[in-house]
Amino acid sequence: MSETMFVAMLALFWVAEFLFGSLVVYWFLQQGFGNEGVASGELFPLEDPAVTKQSLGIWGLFFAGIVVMIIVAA
Amino acid sequence: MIDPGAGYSLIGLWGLLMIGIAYFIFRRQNVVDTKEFITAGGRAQVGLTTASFAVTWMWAGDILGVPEYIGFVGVSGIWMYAGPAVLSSFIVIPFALRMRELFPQGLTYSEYFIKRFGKRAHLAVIFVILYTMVLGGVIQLYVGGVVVGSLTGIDPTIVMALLMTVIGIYILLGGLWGSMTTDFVQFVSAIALTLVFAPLLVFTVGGPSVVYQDMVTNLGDQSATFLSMANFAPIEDFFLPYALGLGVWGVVSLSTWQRIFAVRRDKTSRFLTVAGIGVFATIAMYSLIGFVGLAALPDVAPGNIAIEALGLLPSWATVVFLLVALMVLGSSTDSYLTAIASLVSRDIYFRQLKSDATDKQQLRVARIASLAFAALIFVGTELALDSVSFIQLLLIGGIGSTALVGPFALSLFWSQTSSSGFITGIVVSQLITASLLVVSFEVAAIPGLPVLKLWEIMLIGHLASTTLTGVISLVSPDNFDFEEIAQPAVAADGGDEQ
Repeated sequence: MSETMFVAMLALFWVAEFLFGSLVVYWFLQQGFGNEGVASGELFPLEDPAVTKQSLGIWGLFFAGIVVMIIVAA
Repeated sequence: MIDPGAGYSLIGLWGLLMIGIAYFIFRRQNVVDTKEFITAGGRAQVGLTTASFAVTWMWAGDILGVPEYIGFVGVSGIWMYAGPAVLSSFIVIPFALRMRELFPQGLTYSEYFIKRFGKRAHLAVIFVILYTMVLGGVIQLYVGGVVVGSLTGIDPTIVMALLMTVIGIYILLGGLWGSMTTDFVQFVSAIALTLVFAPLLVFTVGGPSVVYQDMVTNLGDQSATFLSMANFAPIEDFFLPYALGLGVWGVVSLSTWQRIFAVRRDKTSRFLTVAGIGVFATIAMYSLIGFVGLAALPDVAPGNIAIEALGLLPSWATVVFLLVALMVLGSSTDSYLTAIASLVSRDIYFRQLKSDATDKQQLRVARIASLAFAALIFVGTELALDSVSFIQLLLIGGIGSTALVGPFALSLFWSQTSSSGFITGIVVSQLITASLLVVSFEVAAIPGLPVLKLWEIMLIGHLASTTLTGVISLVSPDNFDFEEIAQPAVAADGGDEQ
């Protein structure tokens, strides 16, 4: 791994962490603690299969990214 | 290094803050029944739950563990450490979706095993979960004692006693709501730690370019290996045991399941995905501490890199860092403590001992258990401090999952999985792995048993539990009807049978 790649890797980690933290804080500020007005134990519908596929797609991209990182920074 | 007086003040400040937050949420969310205490009523929002799940997986141990991995392995230590931690969030998704379909508002996931197999199987599961959660708490407290004790000069035993007292009190008040709300504050603190203090440490020693050049100089012939992401040589010692143990720990961990049951059902895979991938970024940022160690502290042993490198920070930064470290430490330890309190109250007291217990009685037991196990974890950590290293403790921590993951998967997706197969798989697998660990760690010699590597022991554990469960179920199947346990909802008054 060259010096440029090392510095770029640290920058990438920092940006990823910043985006992660920002997203979660944004969600919290938008949504609050819990569903207000919803009775304790009330059921929400099951997850839409399209949402599950989207989540699995994100995981696929993430794992592909790890493999690319290992190959490029070998 | 700061003086002990400042250290005590910091711990006091942290304690007041956490107990204050827990009291606020106790009043705001009206935590007066078991369902609110154990699962936050199943109505927590995805932002709060994602933060809580993520920070529970951002172990305080990572502050020590990631730099230690970098010290032993180099840059590939990042994915060797972070990969398995993240894998848990991915693997648990099919389990979570299936459980929320069959058991939509369970209080503890272990109660599912009573419905599926009966009380004997449930007892076997309780045993595995209980010691796994206690071990998890010990790992967190171990790090708290070492890190806070080293940076303040306070005796680690006193540090651990103070930490457990504060955590025990705020869990006593707010249960899972208290845990998740303090987790959110702890999450923001942990993100601040990585975004501000890790780069600050790098620039304290000259910046990323200087760190790179100094690493190349100090590592000499080894620099090419240490600076390659494709350094696979240490995989047997540093990746496989972690992947086979903690990589599937999320499936077994009751603290994971509490958050799965707490979040709205329609957001299940979304929060696991964002939290899991986010944890990778956080762990990757901890690697900066390791790089600084390799660059500026070439003579320091890998196990001491984190403490020595953090000592390079200016004293004001060390003070703030300590406060953040306390936050991260508290988040994981309180999660295990809440999980144990839930397990004792619901699974042991209500399900096994007193099935006519009222909600009030269950809540009282949960609160007493949170204090009792805080004391037990403290004693366990005190014993562990002198006998095992942190990495050993971390890697052994995943051993419980090897017995449970395969049989649990079969029970959820294969109707023929039988009670006898399930119990035999778990018990025999744990006996085998325990015996192999005893021999391989040279605690005692057992004739006929070879010395094996940790990842081999874990693989054998997985194979034994899954194969035995599968074969015995084939010979004597249960033909279970999943419709029997499908339920519309659990009554909010503390039990689906009340």
